[in-house]
Amino acid sequence: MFIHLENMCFTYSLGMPFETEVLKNINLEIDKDEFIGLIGHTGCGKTTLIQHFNGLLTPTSGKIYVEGVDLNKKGVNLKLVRQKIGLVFQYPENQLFEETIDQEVAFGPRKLGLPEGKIEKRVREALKMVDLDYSLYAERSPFSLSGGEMRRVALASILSIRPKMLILDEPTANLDPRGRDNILSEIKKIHKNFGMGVVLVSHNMEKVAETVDRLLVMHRGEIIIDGAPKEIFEKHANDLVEVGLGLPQVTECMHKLKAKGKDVYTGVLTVDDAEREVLKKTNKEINV
Amino acid sequence: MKILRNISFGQYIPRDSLIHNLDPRIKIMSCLAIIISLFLITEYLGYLILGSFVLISIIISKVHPKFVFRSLRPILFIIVFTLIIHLFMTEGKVIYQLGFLKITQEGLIKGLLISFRLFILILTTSLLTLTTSPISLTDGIERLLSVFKFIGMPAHEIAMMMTIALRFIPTLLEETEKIMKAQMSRGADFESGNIFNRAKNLIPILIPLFVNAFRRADELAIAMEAKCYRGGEGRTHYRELKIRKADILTFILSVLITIMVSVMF
Amino acid sequence: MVSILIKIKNLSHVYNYHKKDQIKALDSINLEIKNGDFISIIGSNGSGKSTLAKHMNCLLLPTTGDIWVDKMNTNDKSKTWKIRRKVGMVFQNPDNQIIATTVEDDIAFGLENIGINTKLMRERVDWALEVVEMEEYKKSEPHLLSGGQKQRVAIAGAIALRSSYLVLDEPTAMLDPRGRKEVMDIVKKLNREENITIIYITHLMEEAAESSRVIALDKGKIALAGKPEEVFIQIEVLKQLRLDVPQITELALRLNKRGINISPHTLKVEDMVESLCLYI
Repeated sequence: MFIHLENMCFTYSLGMPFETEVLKNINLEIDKDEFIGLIGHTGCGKTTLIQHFNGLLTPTSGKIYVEGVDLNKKGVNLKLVRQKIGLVFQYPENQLFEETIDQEVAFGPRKLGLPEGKIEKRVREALKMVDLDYSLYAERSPFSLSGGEMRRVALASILSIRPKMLILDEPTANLDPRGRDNILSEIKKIHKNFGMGVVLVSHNMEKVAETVDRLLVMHRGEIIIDGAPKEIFEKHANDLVEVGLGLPQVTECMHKLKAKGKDVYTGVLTVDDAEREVLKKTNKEINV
Repeated sequence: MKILRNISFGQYIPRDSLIHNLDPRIKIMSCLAIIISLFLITEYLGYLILGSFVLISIIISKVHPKFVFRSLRPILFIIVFTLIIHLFMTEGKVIYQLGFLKITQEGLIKGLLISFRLFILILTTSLLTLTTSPISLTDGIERLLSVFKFIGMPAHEIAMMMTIALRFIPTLLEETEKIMKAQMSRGADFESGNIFNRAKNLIPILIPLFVNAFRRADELAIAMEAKCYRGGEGRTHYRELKIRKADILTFILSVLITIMVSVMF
Repeated sequence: MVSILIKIKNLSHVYNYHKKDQIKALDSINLEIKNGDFISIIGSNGSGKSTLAKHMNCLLLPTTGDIWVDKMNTNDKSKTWKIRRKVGMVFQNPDNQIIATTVEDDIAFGLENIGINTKLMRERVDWALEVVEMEEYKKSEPHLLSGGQKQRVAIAGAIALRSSYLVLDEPTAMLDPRGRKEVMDIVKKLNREENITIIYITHLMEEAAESSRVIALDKGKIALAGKPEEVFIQIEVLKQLRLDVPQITELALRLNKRGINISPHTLKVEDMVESLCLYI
């Protein structure tokens, strides 16, 4: 178990007039190499939850362990935790500040106290992971880039720390379909090639469900569904609709067909899935 | 910091009181008059009269004293510090001695008077901000400054800047919190180190914040143009300011009191 | 009868025209938008859709070509402010359009700019609040509102000037699904009930599907134009333009190729379900 949460609760402004209970009774186990999607509406607590993973917030009750270390204990080395868990906030391009991209990506490793030689290696490696050519980008100002490029530099600046798990809050926010697909495939590659665990936070159900192996659905501070995407769409579609999270069009289609008495498999996510299922049920030749 | 999202910014506490309902221009001018006369007073009686005037105004404003005194808290240190300096540093008849530290009679009197002056100063300005919404304040300032337009005073521009600044303070505070958390997540440390280190460590917050603010300003300017903004010429006002009987009376009262205390005492 | 219409003829826009790093953002665009239209302009980043939007209220001027708003040419500087009164605009970032410290003051901002008298201003502000369904937030401070609510305030501020056209430049790009729905519902209502002509810029298919006409831009040119069902059926082109294709439409086309006779113009889930019921 890499991250372990036990009956964790969190209340903002505890004891003050505007106290709000944001997280209730979270029980969660995440292994080191999982690829997880965390879905829910704005206000369901997902951003608050992930801020606990690297110690930015501490639970008001309950426990959280990262690689066996109790984050609540006195004297915990949070810097070490933040090296293991790389947290990338929404619109990470807003955190860029250095004069050159090289310095920007080197910020993290430098704070870790690595020697200069190692730092350069990390920077080259990190930029490669996000498909940016070191020789073309290193000396440029981060502010001279396009929005999508800036986001990749910001991502690289976390990757250079070599975290064991990457947590990304709405990595596709405000990107057009091309940008969104690019960054999702980059993240998937990083997960596969570098063995980094990934938690993707999003409210874009469709794209995330297609990409991840495990889906956590949050609502009003609780994790209400936890499972494989196809299984969730098959068995929990109603719950998803109830909490206001849409279903992909094809999934909705299958469920509506089932409601009309047709015997179809409803755990479909993509057009490929749906095509295959329809062809199966209409006894047509499958050449997929 | 989420607290800031739930409390309205500024010190304004809405109530339905005589003071709240006064025209902001009158309030600003009265406030200025009181503050100016504070520094012209020479006799104790003057301080007493002025002080009572302010305290009575606070009572009329129906704002709970706890809010009023809360605004004193940040200045409390300065007031006490000033008092101590005057107590121990003024030459004169020694009335108490603690080792080599001497408290003089003149020091005691001077210290108390100056502290009292600061006290009333803060109370007066707090009264203004507690009973006047930020919009009313900027409206009032704009109208007052407009009087000096003929010598080139950019009254409208100043008011516009104040409004925009007030509008964006909570937003920029939120942004600062986000940037801090993002930088902490990649190892930035804002707590340890000496003063120089800590100042240097602020760069990863300040630069993104500035860049962010400039970008906002750019987008805001375009949005303003799209809504037909082209400076102060020909603009009308959504909020009307009317001088009523209560305003005239208050103004006369303030002027009388301030003249009285500064000239007579 | 005044002709109510936006006419765009051979419009081209080049950024950095006199410099080395020129970018041709728009290339000979021809387009007509009629009173009461609800058109959406789709395209990926860099396709020129935002540039096109900004021409409609004189925020940008053509490098070559012309654009007329109700017979007023945007190149005529004397007409700029009249055009801006007719063409309201809402931008992407909900925060960076709100200038005042309360909702009602922000909606009044545009009205103050054009010198409307106080009494009429109050009526317009109340009307605009009602239309965007934000009456209870009249005195709220903007930083306490959700993204969707802020955008509705921005819309109110634009329509308060009684513009006949409303251009929305990716208004939901920074919102969550709930906020997107809020904004879309109000925009549809504006078109339906207040007869405001809507020009809606987006890269989201489900939003473009709500309009009556879709224009797809690619590298500054119009690549596709027509009713939503006509445009979405061109799956290969849309994919080339790096745009999403509605799942149902793509499914319909694929099944069609396999001999299942589903109309390729199928856009909605319900229609697909009905059609499939005949085959399963």
